[in-house]
Parts: sequence; C-alpha cells; structure tokens
Amino acid sequence: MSGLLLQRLKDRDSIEKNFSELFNEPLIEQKASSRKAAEDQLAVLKLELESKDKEISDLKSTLKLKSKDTEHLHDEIITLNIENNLLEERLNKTKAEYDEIVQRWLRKVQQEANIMNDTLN
Amino acid sequence: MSQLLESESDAASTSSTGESSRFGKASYSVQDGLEQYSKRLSFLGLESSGDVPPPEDSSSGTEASSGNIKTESAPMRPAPVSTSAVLTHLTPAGDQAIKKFAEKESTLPSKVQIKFQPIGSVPQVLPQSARISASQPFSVLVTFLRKKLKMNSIYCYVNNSFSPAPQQSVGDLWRHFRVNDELIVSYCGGVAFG
Amino acid sequence: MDSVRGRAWAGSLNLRITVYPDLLLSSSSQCKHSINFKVPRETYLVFYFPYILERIATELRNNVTEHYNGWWVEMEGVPLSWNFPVGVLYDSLTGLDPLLRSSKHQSNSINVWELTLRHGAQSPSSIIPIVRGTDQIREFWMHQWKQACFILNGASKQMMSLSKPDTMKFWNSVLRREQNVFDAIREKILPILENARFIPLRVHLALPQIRLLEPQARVQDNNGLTSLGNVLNSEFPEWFSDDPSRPNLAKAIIQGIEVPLQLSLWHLYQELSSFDGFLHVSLCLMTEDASLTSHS
Repeated sequence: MSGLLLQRLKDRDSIEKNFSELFNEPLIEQKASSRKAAEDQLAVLKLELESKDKEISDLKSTLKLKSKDTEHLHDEIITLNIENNLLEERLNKTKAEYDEIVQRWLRKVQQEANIMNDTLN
Repeated sequence: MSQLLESESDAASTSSTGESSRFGKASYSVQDGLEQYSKRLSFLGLESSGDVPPPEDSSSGTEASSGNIKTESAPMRPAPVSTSAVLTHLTPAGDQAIKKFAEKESTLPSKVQIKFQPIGSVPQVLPQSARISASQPFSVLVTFLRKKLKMNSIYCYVNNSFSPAPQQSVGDLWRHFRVNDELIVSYCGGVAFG
Repeated sequence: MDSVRGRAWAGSLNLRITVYPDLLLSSSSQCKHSINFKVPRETYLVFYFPYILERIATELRNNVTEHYNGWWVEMEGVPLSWNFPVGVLYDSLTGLDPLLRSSKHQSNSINVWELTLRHGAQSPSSIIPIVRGTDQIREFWMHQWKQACFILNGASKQMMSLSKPDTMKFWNSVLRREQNVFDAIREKILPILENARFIPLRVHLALPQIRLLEPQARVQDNNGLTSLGNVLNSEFPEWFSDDPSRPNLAKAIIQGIEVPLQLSLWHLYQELSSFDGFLHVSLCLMTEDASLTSHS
C-alpha cells in the first residue's frame, strides 16, 4: 500500500515540481538562523581570542626574557671586545718589545761576532 | 427564568466598520455572510426560508442554573469561485448529496454544555456553565468571555492543557475533550500554559 | 532515499502572490506587482510574510511597519487562514482532484497557485491576528501539538514533558526544514499502537462552504484498525457509502494525493500527518468528468 502512496506522491511532485526551479525557495529563518550562526561564531571566535591572548602574553614574557638575554649577551660581547682590544694592544706592544729585544740581541750577537772575528783576525 | 446571554458571533464583532476605506473593500459583516449564504442556498436550489439563524427557542427554562449563549448562525465562509464552480458539474447523486449535507448542517442547532473556569486573579464569569450551539467556532467563546469580562485580551484553554484553533467548532471540541458531558474552558488574562 | 514520509515532507508548491492594487504606489510598474516563489507544503504561509514584504516594500504606498499583523493573503477574495499547513489550504480551497489535474498536465505546464496579498486595519474573522510575531506562531503551533497529543494519548503529558532544548529543536526543525530532527522528537510524542486512543484528524471542506471538522476517530475498534473510509462514512454518509456497490461521491485528499479509503488511519497518520501533529484530509467532490475517470 505504501507503494501506491509513494507512486501517487511521485505523480503529485511531477506536476507540482515541474519547472519549480524557476521559483526560488526563500529561507524563512534567515534572520534568526544567521543571527544564531553569528552568535555561535562569536562564541567560537571569543574562545579563539582568549587562547590567542594567552599565547600573546606567553610570547611576550618569552620575548622579554629573550631580550634580557640578548642584552646580557650584548654586554658580554662589548666587555669581551674591550678586553680583546686591550689584549691585542698588549700583544702588539709585547710583539714590538719582543722584536726589539730580538733586534737588540741580534745586534749584540753581531757585535760579539765582530769582536770575535776581529780578535781572530 | 432563564438567563439569556447575548453574544454576537465572531464575524459580527469584526465587521468591516473598523477597516479604513482604502483597505475596506472586503467586508465580513454578518449581513454579508447571510446574504452570501442565501445566495448559495438559492444556488443549491434550496428555499431560503428566512430562519437561517436557527431560531433560539425560549423554552430553555429548565436550564435554570446554566446560561444560554445565544449566537448568530456560525459565520459563513464561501469557497473561491473557481472552486465552487464544480457545484454545477456534480452528478445528480452528488447534487443530491450536497443538498442533504447543507440541510443537515442548517438543522444542527444541537447544544453542548460549557463550564468556565478562571485561572489566577481573573473573576469567575457568571453563570459558570453555559450552553452553546455545537456548530459555533471556538472563537465565539473567546469573544463572549472577552466581552463579558470587559478584558482586552484573554487566553482560553481546554482541559487546562491547550488552546485550540479558533476555527474549530465547539461541538468537535466537546466530542473530543468533554469531562462529565461538559467542555471545561479555563481562561486567564495572560499566558497560563505555554 | 525515497519514502512516503520523505516525499510528504518535501512536497512544495509554486506560488504567485500579487499585491492588491490599492496597496501599491500609482507609479509602480505592472511587472513588479507580483512575486513568484515556492514554499513547502508543510509550513505556515505566514512565515513568508516578512520575505514577501521585503520584496515588494518599494512598490507599496505605505511604509511597512508590521510584518505580520494586518496582512493576509486571499484566493479569489477568500482569505486563507494561516494556521493550517499551506498544502492543506491548497488542496481544500482549490478542491484539488489529483486525477483530474494529472489528466490535464503536460510536460511544459507549470502548476502555480495564484494568491493576492491584502492589508487592513482589521483582518477578516477567519484569520487569527498576529500581534506577537513569531513567538505567537510558535505558541499556536505548540498548542496544536498539545491538542494532537491529547487526542492520541489522552493527555498532553508527552508534549509537556519535552525538555526545553527539545521543544526548541522541534520548533527549529520546522523552520529549518530538518526532517530527521523533527521525526526524532515526534517519536517521543507518538504512542505505540497499543496505547494510542484516537487519531488527530481534521477534515477540511470547501463546499458547500469552508468548514473544519475534527471527527472522533478511534485508532482501533473490535474489528481492528479503523480505516479512513469508516470515519468518513460515519461523518459524511451523504458522500461516502459503506456499501461497496454504491460509488462514493467524494474523494479523500491528503498531501495532494487521493488516498484509498480502506487504508487505516493509524498507517496514514504515521506516513502523511502534517507538521502540526494532525492528519489533514480535504474532501474533493466528484464532478461528472471526474467520476468517469475515478480509479479508487
């Protein structure tokens, strides 16, 4: 019997739905549903906002820490640089001193050799 | 002595007088309703015998404690013209049948007993019980209470549970929901049963 | 999946709504006086009033201040009571004879129901004024269901005990046209066969005048399930005979189709009842041409 009802409903639809694509079917709940959807979305977005806020504050504190570290490192670098400069200066001085000493030594050895040669001759 | 409660049918209370002239082309007064009814009767080949509103017999003296809501005949609502055109294409038997049906409808002034129950602070309407013609729509009861209690809005419920569609006949409601042969109609100034 | 229930829910009607001339601006052009759209058979037409008014607002003489109150639609001057499903109004007011209609149908014909939009300070008596917008429509619909529930179960308890979210889901399923949601909640209200008392049945007559009848229809009696024919025969013996040799003079139309009278009301209710909890039957009087082509 359901088959008969179904067939008759199909017949009905073939008439009532003929060209019905020409007629648009408005949504009655447009306002309510879009508002509902908007509200739902708002709630979701607010949750997301909250998590982002937290993320931002986390990142901020990390950043603060990092920048402190950076600053520290920077200071270190400067200190080390200065130290390096000082050391280099001293190195140069020492090198010059050394060179001079070597020269002086060479000169002294040369002198001695000359004296020795002179003596031998 | 019996108490006769005069009440117009719903159609009368919403007659066209309230409509602005711009929108007032359609009129729904009882007068028009009756006119159309008698037109229809003549269309059906029946005698419009002048007593279209079922005559209210004044012999209701036995109902000493109960009121008698007197109404006009139920509002007439003729079908669209192109639909009623089939009346001229009926088979002879179909023609006969619709005459019989119309006759049965017009000789149907059987009455049913209604009991009014106030909810909350609204006053009890007197008399508490009334008789009304079964063919009347439920809206007539609402209008009756509203007038009787001089309230602007009134909410009516059957069996303290639901409020029926106003077009439903009191007789059908009585048949379905009567308790001890009375249809219990509770009423309230605000929404009582959401 | 193709099912009777699915088709009953999905049925639609093409509408052409023409604005009553007095409501229009005199400068308004002819082609803008009507709008075409389709509506499901299983809905209240009044849901579409805001949509209609939005589309024709620019053509109206007056500003639209109310979207429900004061507005109504008519067929040939006969106001449509919004509180019945659109499909039922169509079937009963047009006196639909499906067989006659399909015999006239051609592959290039369109079925359109032409209606007129009206407005007035006072709506006709057959129309419930809507003063509280959609809330009022929802409450009205809820009370229809409570009444149907009372008829089925003998009390409105099943309806009253629906949870608040379920109640809203039920209503939203009507607005959003979600059949599975609707049917799931409907299941909670409907009794099993053994407990069912009466069928919420409404008979719509257009002739000799527009009438609504709500006959008492037991789900079953000593002879088994009550058939649609049983009830129609006892309510309208003029048109439906209990003697099989005598032809019936009217047809029973539900959801736009002619229904065999021997089917049980219980079965018909399960398959073809409307979204307001009632099984709506429209009577179609047989004309001379129709009785020649009758097939039931």
